[in-house]
Amino acid sequence: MQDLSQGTREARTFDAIVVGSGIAGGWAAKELCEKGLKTLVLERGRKVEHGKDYKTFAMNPWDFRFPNGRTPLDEVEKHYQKQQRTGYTVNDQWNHWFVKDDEHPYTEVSRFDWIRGYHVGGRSITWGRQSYRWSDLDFEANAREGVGADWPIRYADLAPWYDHVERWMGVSGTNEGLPQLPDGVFQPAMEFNVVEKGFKGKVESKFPERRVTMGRTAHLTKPTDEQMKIGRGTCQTRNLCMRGCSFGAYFSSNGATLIAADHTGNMTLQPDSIVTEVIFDKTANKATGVRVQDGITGKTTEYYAKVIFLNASALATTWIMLHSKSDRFPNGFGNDSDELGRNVMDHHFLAGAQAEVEGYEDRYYSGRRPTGIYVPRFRNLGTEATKQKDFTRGYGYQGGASRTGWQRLVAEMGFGKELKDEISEPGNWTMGLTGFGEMLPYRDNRVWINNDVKDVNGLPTLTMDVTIRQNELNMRKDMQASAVEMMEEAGFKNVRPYDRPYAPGLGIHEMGTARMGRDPKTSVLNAFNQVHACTNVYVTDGAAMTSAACVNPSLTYMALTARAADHAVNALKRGEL
Amino acid sequence: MLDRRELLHRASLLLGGAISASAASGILAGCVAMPGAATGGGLLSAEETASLTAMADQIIPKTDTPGALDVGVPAFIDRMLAGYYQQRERDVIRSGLQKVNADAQALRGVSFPLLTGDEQVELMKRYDREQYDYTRANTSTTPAPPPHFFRLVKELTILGFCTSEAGATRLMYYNPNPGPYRGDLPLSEVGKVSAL
Repeated sequence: MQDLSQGTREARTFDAIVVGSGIAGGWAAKELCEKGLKTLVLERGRKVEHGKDYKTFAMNPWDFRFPNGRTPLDEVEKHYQKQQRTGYTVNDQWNHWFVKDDEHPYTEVSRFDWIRGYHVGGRSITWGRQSYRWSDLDFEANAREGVGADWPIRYADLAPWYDHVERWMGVSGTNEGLPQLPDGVFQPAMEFNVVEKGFKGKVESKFPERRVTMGRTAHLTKPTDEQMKIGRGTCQTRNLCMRGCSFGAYFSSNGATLIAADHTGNMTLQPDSIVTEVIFDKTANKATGVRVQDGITGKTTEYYAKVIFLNASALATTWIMLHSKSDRFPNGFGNDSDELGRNVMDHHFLAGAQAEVEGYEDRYYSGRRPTGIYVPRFRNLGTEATKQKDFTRGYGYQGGASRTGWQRLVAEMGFGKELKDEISEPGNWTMGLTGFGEMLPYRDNRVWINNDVKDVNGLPTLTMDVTIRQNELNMRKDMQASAVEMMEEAGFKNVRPYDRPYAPGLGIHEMGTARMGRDPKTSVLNAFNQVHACTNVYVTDGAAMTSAACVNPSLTYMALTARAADHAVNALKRGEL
Repeated sequence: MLDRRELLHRASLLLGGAISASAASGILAGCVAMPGAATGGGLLSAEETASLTAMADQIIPKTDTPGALDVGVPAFIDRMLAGYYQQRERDVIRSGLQKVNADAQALRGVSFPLLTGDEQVELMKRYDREQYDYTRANTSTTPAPPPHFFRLVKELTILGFCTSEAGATRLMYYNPNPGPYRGDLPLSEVGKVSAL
C-alpha cells in the first residue's frame, strides 16, 4: 500500500473521509464511493482481508491449542479482564477480534462493559446480526413522555433507507404486519423447530397482542444476483459466525460494503490510522480534515476532505469529538449543548426465564441456526390493554428451543458404558427467553476524557459513569414474569425466572452520546446527522441515537448512514458544504 | 496375588503403553519422579498419570468404539492443567490423586491403578456422589470455591473425549458445514446428537 503520509497535501486530500470501517463506516464508504466521491476510509486497527484473514474459519474443535478455542485463564486475567465479561467474547476462535484491556484501558465509576475490536471491519465481524426496524412508537416516545430530546425524524423519513439497506445486505425474516415492528424487505426466514412451533401456537392464541416470529437476521437464505456478484453465498448454519464467514453469508463490512466500495475504484482504505482530532477552520466555519496518529510509528499526519463521516463507534466517535478542542469548541467539537458524552444508553438484558420441555424425543433438527425466535414488544403500545403502571417503554424477547448435547453429562452423576452411550444421544429439549429492554437516556449517564490514564498509543482514554435506574429495574421484573407466564401456558416444565447480573455496555449496544435533535441547545446533530455547529461533519454511528428503543440498533445505524451519505452528496452538489 | 511381572505388565497397559516398563517399575516402587514422562503438559508425574489413566478408562471405556484412552485423555488433562488452568486446579487434582491412592491403600493396600476394576468403580462411585453433592451445594457460592477433584477429572475426561476427532466423529454427528437449517426432522434421520 502506498504510504500517503509521505505525500503532498494534494495527495492527502479527498472528497470525503470516513472514520471507522465497522458497520456504519462500511456503509458510508460504499454509498459515498458509489456516488462518485473519492473517499479515504481511516481505520485505527490492523488490516483484515475478507476470507484470507479469518484464520480460525475452518478449524475443528481439536485443532485449537485447547478444545474449542478455550483461552488459558492466565491470559484472560492478563489481557481480557473486561472483554471476557460477556462470557462468550474471549476465546481463541475470535480473540483476535477483540482489544486487549491492558493495551486499551478505560476507567469505570461503576461497572461498564466496553467490548470492542480494532481492525478493519470492526464489530461488523462479531455482531449479533439481529436486524429490526424502529417504528414511530420509538421515534415519538421521547416527545410523548417529555424524556430527553425529541427525535428530529420519524419512521417515514427512514423507511426508504431501511428498504435500501435491507435489500442490499440481505436480511432473512417474516413480515408480521405489526405497527411496533415494521415489515421489511426479507429473504426467507429460517425454520422453527418443533418445540418453538408449539410455543408459537400456544402463546399467540392465549395472548392476542403477542407474536412469536423468527429472528430477523442478516444472513443470506436466498442470495440475490447482486449479492452473489460480490462473492456472497447462502448461510450454511455453522453458527461459528464470530470467526468471520468466508462464505460471506452474513453481512459484514469486510464481506460486503467494503468490497462494493473498493469495486468503484474510489476508495482508499488505510488501516493503522488513529484519528485523534477533527481539524476545524474557524474562519470558514468548516471542518477541513482530520489529524491521524499512525498506530505503529506514532507519526502524525493530516488528511483533508470536503465532508467527514465519523463512524468510529458511539464512544470512540465521542472520544474524537471531545478530544478535538479549539477556540470555537473549547469543550469538544460540536459540543455547544454540553450533551456530547451524555445520555449513554444500551439495551439491558439477561432477565427472562428458562424451562424444560417434555416429549418430542423423536424429533430433532439439522444445522446450527444462527438466530432464534423473537417476541416483539407487547408492552406500552399506546393502548389501555398494554399500558404498564410500573415502567414506560418496553422490551422484546430473543430465545429458542434446542436439545442439549454432551455438555449436559458433566453435571450428571454416573460414568462408564452408560455415560458413553448417552454421549451419542441428544438430551431433552430446553427453552430460554431473554428480554432486551429499552434503557432511557439519562443526562448524567456520561463518559469523559481521562488524561491520567493513557492507552498503548499514549493517548488519553475514557471514563464511564453509567447506571440503569428504576424504570429499567421495574421492567426486568416484567421480563421475568411474562416469560414465565408464556412458558407455563405452553406447558413447559420446571419454568425458572432469572435475572442475571447486567451492567451497561454488556449488550454491546452503547449509544446516544452525540444525539440527534431539533434544537442545537439540547442536541449535537440535526435531522440529517450533521453536527449542528459544523454541517460538513456527519455522525451516523450509535452516538447519534436520541433514544434506544428495544430492538437491536445496527440496522438503524446503517439506514441513517445511507440517508446521510445521500444528503451529503446532494449538499456537496448544491455547494452547501 | 499378582506377581511383580504381571503387575509391571498391567501398569504399563494402564498407561496406554506410553511409558516403559522401567518407568512402571518406578511407579510400583512408589517413585513419583519422572515429571513429564508420557504426559502432554509435562506437569503430572508418572504415578499421577497412572491414576488418571485408570479413572479416565473407567469414565469412558473402550467398547466397539474408541474410549478415553484411545484419544489420549490423560495427556490432554495434563496439557489442560499445565497450560489452561491455574495453580488452584493443579492443586485440586494433585491433592485429589493423593487421596485416591490413600483410599486405595486403605481398601486393598495397593495404589489406585492396581485395584481391580470393580474396586476402582466402587471408589469412583463414592467420589461421584461427593462431587455431585459438593457442586450442587456450591452453585450460588461467590466467589466460586475450587471444584471437587473428581468433578474436574470427569469434566476433563468428557471434554477431552467429546472434542477429540474420534469422539466427535465416531460417537456423534459431526458436520462443520451443515447447510440450510432444517427445523423439524425425525431424530432417526439425523441419527446421533450433533457434536457441535
